[in-house]
Amino acid sequence: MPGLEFHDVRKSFGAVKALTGVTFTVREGESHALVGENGAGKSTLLKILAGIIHPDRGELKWNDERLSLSSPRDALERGIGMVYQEMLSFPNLTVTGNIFAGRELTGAGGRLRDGDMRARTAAILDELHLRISPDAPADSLPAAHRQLLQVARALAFDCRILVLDEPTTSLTDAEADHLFAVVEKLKARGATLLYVSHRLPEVFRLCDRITVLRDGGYAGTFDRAGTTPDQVVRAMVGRDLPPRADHAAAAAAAPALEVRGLTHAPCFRDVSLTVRPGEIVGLFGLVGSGRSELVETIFGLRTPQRGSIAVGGRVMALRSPRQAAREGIALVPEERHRQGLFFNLTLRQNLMMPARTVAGDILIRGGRERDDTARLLVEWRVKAGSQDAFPDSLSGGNQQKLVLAKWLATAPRVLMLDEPTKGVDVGAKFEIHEIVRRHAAQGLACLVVSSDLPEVLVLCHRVIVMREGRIQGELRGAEASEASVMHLATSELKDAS
Amino acid sequence: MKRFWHVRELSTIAILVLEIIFFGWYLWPEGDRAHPFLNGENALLVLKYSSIYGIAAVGAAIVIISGGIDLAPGAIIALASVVCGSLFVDAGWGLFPAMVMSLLVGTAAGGLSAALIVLVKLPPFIATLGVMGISRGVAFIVTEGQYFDLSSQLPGGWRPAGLPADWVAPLVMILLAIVFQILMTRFQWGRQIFAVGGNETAALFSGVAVGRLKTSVYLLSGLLAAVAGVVLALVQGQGKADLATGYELDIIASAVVGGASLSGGRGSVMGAVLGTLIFGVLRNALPQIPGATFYDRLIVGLAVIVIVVMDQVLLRREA
Amino acid sequence: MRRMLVMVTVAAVAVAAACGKKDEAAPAAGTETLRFAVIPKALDIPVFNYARIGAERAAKELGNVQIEWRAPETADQLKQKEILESFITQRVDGIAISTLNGDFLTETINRAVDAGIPVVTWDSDAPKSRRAAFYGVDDFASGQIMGQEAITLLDGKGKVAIITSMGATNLQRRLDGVRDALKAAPGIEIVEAYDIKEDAVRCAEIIATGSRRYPDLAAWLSVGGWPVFTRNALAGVDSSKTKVISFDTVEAAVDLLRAGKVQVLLGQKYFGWGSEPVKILHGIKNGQPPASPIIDSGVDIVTLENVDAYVAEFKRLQAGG
Repeated sequence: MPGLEFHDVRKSFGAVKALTGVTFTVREGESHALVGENGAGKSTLLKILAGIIHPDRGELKWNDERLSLSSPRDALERGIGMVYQEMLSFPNLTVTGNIFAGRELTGAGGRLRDGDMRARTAAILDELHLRISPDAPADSLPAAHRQLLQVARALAFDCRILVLDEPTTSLTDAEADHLFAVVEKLKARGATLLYVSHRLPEVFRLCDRITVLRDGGYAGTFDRAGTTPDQVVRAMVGRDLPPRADHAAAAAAAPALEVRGLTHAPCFRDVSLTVRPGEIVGLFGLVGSGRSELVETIFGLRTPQRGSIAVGGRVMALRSPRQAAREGIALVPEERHRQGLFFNLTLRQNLMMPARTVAGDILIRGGRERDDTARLLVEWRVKAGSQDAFPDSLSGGNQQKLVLAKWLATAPRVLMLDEPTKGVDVGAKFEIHEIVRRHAAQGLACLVVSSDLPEVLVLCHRVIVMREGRIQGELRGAEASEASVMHLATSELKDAS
Repeated sequence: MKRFWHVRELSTIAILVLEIIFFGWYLWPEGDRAHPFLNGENALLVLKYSSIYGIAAVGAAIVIISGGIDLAPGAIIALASVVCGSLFVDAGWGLFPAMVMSLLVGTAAGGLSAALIVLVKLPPFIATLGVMGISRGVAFIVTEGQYFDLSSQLPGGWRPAGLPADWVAPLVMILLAIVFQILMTRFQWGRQIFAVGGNETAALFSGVAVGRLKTSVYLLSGLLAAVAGVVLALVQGQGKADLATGYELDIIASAVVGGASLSGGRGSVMGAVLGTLIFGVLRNALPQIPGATFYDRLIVGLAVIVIVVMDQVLLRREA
Repeated sequence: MRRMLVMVTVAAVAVAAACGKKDEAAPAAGTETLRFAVIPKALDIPVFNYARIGAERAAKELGNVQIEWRAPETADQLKQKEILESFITQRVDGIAISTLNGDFLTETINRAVDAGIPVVTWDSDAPKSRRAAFYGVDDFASGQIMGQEAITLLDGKGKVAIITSMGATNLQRRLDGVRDALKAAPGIEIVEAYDIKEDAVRCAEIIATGSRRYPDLAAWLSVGGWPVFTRNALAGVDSSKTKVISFDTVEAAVDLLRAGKVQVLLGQKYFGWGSEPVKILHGIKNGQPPASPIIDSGVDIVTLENVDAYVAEFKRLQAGG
C-alpha cells in the first residue's frame, strides 16, 4: 500500500513498554490523525519518525521503500517535516534564520547566501498568507506565527509528510483558526499530513482518518465519516465514560471563602464572590480577564489594593502563599512545570512538600510520608514506577494529578484550581473531575478557573463570568449554557449590577 | 532519590579511595622505610589543611543546592582570620570572645549577601562578588597591609577541650558535615532548600517562605566561612588579609566534584566535604613526587573535569 | 526604582567612608611641594610597611616632599602597571617603584621618563628600562649569599629543599642565585623547589608534607618570608636535624631565630627601600643625579650572635631615630 507504513513498531525503555507493536498506514495525500491519551505512545512513535530514537523492532516504509532514520536531520532530508508543540524556534534569529537554521544555503567557501534564503522565505510566507517580514526577529512574533514558522521550515525543504504534534496547545482560537486554514491549504495541494492531538474537535475538522493508540498498542483506525467522537474517546480510554455530574445546588452553608470588593488594578477591580463548602464554582473568562491574577491574589501572591478576603468567616490579610496555605487555601497553579512540580525531587517529596511545610514540620518522618504517599498514589491512580521516581517520568495527566494530590494532602478548606486539565488527556481529565467532585461532596469549597467551557459546564454548580477584570455576572445550574456563558464573557455589561 | 544520593556519594568516596590507593602505590617506599603517605600522621595532616576548605564547602554546597552561588567564602575566611587576630593580638581580647566576634562578622557578611539577594533581588553571583570585594577590602583596612601573629600568643601545648590542637579543625569539619548532612536530608528545612533550588516558583506556590529560606542559607554560608577563617587563624597562627585568595573557586569545585549541580537542586554536604578531601590528598601527595609541584595546578584542573565528566556519564547510564 | 535607590545609597556610603581618611596635612614647606609616588609590590607584604615609614621620614626631613603610597592589594603585575600609568597621567614629580615584573614594566617606566618624570627602582629592578637608579640588593647576589650561608651552616653536605613562588622575577633571580652558589658544594643535594603560589597556608602545608617526605632533610631554604611570618609553619620541623634559612627579618622571624627554629635570616634594608629612593629623587629634582645608577644596599645576615644588635638598630629606625 502506498504512503507511510508503520509495521510492527516496538520500543521499550527499560522495563517500560512504550510501543508494543504498532501497525498502520498513512495514505499518501490524506490527512491522518493520531490520537491517544498521554502515555499511549504517540510521542515515542513521533520520535521514531523524527529519527530521534530508534525502534527495537519493526520498520517504517515510505511507498514501499524502507526508511531508516538515524537523526532528525536525516528525517528532514527524507522529507519528514516536524512541527512540535514546544516551539523550537531560535528567538534571537530572524524569520529567515529560523527557517534555514542548521541547513543554511551556502555558496563557495561556506559563505551564506543571504539573498537567496531571504527570497525563498518571502515566497513561502506569501504562500502561507503570513504577513511578516523575513527579517523580523522570531521573538517579536506571536506564538501562532512561531508555530507557522515551523510549517514554513518544513515547506522550505519540500517535505513529503508534514507531522504536526499538538500544534494548537498554546494558541488562541483565532490563532488556531489561522493554522487550520494553512493546513487546509496544504491538504488541498495534496500534502500528506500526520496530525497528533487529543483535541477531538480539531481532529474531526481536519482529518480523513483517525488512528487511536492506547497503552502503547494500536487500538483501531476510524474513517471520519461514520464515526462519532464518543467512539474515538472510548477507544482512547478503553472503557465507558462516567455520566455527567448533576448540577445539584450546594447546601446553604456559611461561605468558606468570601471575597469583597477585591481590587488589584489594572488586573481586576471590585471583585466580590463567595464559595460555600461543598460547592464547585467556575470562574470563566477569556484570557486577560484577570482570573489567574484574582486567584493568585487570594493565594497571597499579590497584595490587593482594596477589598477583603475572608476564610471561614474570618477576614485576613494574606501576604504570602505560606500564610494562605496555613489558613486552608490551596491553589493548583496553571503551569504545572513552572509553578507546580520539583523535577529534582521524588514523587513522595513532591507530594509531601506543601502539607509538611504548612504543618510547620521540622523533622521529616519517613515512615509516615511513605504511608501517606502510597495512599495518595492509589487514591489518585497515579501510574508511577515507585514513590522514589521523579516527576519527569510521568505523563502530563499524571503530573497534573500529582499537583492536585499534593494540595489536597494539606486538607484545605478552599481549593482553587487554575486550568486544572490544561494539556492533559481525556482519561486523566475525567479522573480529575471525579476527584474534585468527590472532595466537594465531602465539604470542600472549590473555585475552578478554566478556559475550557465544556469543562466548566460539566463540573461546576455555578459559573462566575469575568471580563476585563470585572465580574460580569453569575449563572447557576440550568441557566449556564455555552451560549449564555459566552454571551456574558464577550458582551458589554448593560446595567451595573 | 534516596538511591541516587547514595550513588553520588559513593562515587565520590570511590574516587577518593582510588586516589589514595594510587598514591599509596606510587609513593611506596623502598626497603622498610616508613610509608611517607599512608600513615596516620599524614592522614591527620590532610584532614587539617582540608578542613579550611571543607568547613566552608559545607556552606557552599548548601548555597549551590538552593540554586545560588557564593563567591565570598575566600574573602570571609580572610576577614574572619583578621578580625580574630586583631581582637586577640592587638585589642587584647580573650581567644574565645575574639573567635565569637569573628563568627559574627562572617555571619554579617553573609547577611549582606542575603539582603542584596532577597531584598534588592540582585543575582547571587553579582551580590556575592560585591560582598567578596567588601570583605577582602575590610580585611585590608583592618590590617593595613600588616598581619596579626596569633602564633606568638597561643600557648605552646595548647589543648582545647583536652584534644591535641591539630585534631580540632578536622573534628569541627566532620562534625559540621554530619550535622548538616542530617539537616539537609532529614529535616524539612533541607528538603525545602532542595525544592527552592529545583524550582523556586513552585516552592513559592507550595507555601515555602523562599526569602526567609534563602536568607538562612547565605547567613549560614557566611558563618561557616568564618568558622573556616577562625580555624585557619589557629592552624596557620596568622590573621592576614590576603589569606585564602581564590579559595572560593576551590570550594565551589569541591562541591561540584561532590555531586552538586550549579543549576541547583542537586548536591550533598557530605559529597562536598569528600570533594575537599580529594583535593586535599592531591595537595598532600603531589609535593611528595619530585618535580610535581609545578604541575599541581594542572592536575587539580584536570581532576575537576575528569570527575565531573565521569559523573555525567554514570548519571546518563543510570537514567 | 527602589532597588536603584538602595544601591545608590550603599555606593554613596562606601565612597564617603573611603574619603574619610584622606586629606592628611600637606607639607608646610614654603617652597614648591614635590609629589613622589612610592609604589611597593603589594600592600599585603608586611615588610613594605617599613619602607613606607622610611619614605615618609625622608619626606619629612627633606621638608617639601609629599609621598603618595599606592600599590595593588595583592601582587598583581597588571594592577601595578595600572597604578604606575595613573601616576604618569597625574604628572607626579618622581616615581619610586619596586617592580613585580621589571620587564613587563620597562616600557611604562620609559614612558614616565619621556614624560619628564624621574623613576627610581628599589628592591626589585627593571634593568632594561631607563630608570635613573636602582636601590637595593641584586636578587641574584642575595640568593648567592643565602646559598653560601647554607653551605657554611651544613658543612657542605646534606639534602635541602627550597621554597619559592613562581611568577615573581626577583624570587626567580634569588632562586637562581641560591642554585648557583650551591653548585660549589657537591655534597649538597637540592631535593625539590616547591612552588607555594603566594599562599602562606600552602607554605605551611608544604613544609609539613615535605618534612614527612624527606625525614633526613638538612635544611629548608626559603627565598621569601612565608615560613617565618608565623610560628606555626615551622612547628613540625625537627630543629636538631633540619635547619632553616629564610629571607625577611620581621618580628616572628626574630623570635623563631632566638628559639632555635631558624638559624639564619637574610634581611634587606627595609627602611632604606623607602628613604633612599626618595632622597635620590629629591637629588635629581635639585640637579644632583646619583653617581652610579646601581646603589647596593647590602643584606643583613642575622644569626643568633648578632640578633640583639640587629633588633636594637631596627627599633631605632622604626621609632624614627
